[in-house]
Amino acid sequence: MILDIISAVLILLGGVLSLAAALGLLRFGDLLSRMHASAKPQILGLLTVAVAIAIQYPAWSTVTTLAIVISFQLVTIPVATHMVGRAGYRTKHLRRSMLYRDELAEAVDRAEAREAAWERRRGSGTDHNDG
Amino acid sequence: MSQIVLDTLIVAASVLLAISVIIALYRIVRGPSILDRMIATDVVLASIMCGLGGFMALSGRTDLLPVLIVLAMLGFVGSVSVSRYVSKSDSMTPGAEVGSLSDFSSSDWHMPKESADDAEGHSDTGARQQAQSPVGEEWPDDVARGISDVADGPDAITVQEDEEPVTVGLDQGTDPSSDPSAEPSVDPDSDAEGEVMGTGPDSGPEDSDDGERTGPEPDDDEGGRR
Amino acid sequence: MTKRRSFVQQLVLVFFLVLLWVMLWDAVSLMHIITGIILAFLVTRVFYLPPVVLSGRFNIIHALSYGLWFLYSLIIASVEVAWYAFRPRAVGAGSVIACDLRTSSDLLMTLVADTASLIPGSIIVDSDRALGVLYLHVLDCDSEEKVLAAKELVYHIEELLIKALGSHRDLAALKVTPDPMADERGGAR
Repeated sequence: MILDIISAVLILLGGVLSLAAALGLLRFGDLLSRMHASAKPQILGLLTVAVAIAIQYPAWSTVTTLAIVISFQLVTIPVATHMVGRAGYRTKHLRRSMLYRDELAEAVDRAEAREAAWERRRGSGTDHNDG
Repeated sequence: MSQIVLDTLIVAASVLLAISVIIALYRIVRGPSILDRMIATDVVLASIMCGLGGFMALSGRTDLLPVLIVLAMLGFVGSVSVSRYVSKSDSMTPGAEVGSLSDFSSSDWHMPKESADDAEGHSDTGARQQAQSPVGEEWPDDVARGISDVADGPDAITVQEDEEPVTVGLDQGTDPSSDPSAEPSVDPDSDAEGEVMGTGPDSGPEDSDDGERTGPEPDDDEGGRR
Repeated sequence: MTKRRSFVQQLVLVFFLVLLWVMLWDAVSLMHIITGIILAFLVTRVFYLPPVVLSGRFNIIHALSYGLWFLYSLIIASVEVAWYAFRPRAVGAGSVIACDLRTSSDLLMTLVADTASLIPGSIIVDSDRALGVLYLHVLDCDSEEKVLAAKELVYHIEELLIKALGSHRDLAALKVTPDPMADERGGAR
């Protein structure tokens, strides 16, 4: 019975973290912040639920499958958030200029300036610029 | 007594998960871009996984564990494919942004001025959106018709492929002025160079760059490296 | 790379895939292992991955400390982001910061990026492989101190990982610049 209650508490924690993720989706201002809110509590929520299952069934088979699930999530969530973040950052109409400091834009500007200077130095050769 | 406590906890957890799904649904409906909707779908999926896990823990069955794996994979594959689709379609020339624009509704253009300002420096947005973005009351044609009638294939896209070198990772790989998303040309990691090709939203992922990158070992690492 | 080294790496890959297969079937039997080996070979031939350059060094103590620190940060930072979602003020502006890593290896850069993405507060947005720079978006980062704190976190992650997994060249780079934030803290950027 105690085990059941511990599992239930852990699942409740998972529920609270899911709610936090959803509330963050609702309340945060721009796409990139919403992504933080959605992906991060998700990991911890899954971890707590997995621990809840594991303490109910401490058999090797369930524990290894749970380990697979958690490690899949650990590996794929950063990749998915990175791709969404990159797509969100690059397509400017999905991004609000709500950034306090944007060092990537500075690097992009520098690269563009360098490229433009290179183009100018090369003359009008093969024209990449059509606006 | 402890049964009552247990029941209360279970009910509370279920209510929380249901509320989070409903809130995420709101974001799916409202979200001004397809990426917002995608991450809200991810939250729905995660809540489903938590709910399923809770069900398994408390009802005595473990045969649903592979379902968790499948759901995790579904979420991942969905996120990645949508985000590749968006980056590809957004780097096309005007009039061809099928994936991203068909999800916009007119109310989205009530977004604050910065996004409209960002949009106008951006060759993708096309004249149609330009004319309506400051006002916001006029519906873009495809939304007004209720369906996205935008031409859905390579014929709507002015082909940029003669300008784009296919090789990735060289400094000339990007097209800084015609590529409004402004990838830095020193960034060999961006596979948007391949994506700027404008050959249509369905021409599979240009994975030519992925083969050259050395990447981490496949994801069966069991956390051993961590 | 010599053929021998990539062969050993393929073998390691196959081993892990077989392990995964056996774990999915929840039972260790000869049939599972044999089918696992066949499928693993098929997968590594069809979906050919370029070989990862391992450093050949694995310090178990530092790896454990990295793992524990990671778990601890995960919990603390998840609670923090959850708190941001609940509190009335929500969240302020974010920033995109650049971190010039000391390591030059692909695997380490990827691991740093993965860890920084997992620990709530930062998402990797872009990277510059040639220069070894990572660009991260940090949540709620609207003052100089927070920007500096975020950069310190990333460099700390890198330090832990280099000590656990890094090659000797990376360790040397670590010794050369033990504190990459020194010049940034000195003046306003």
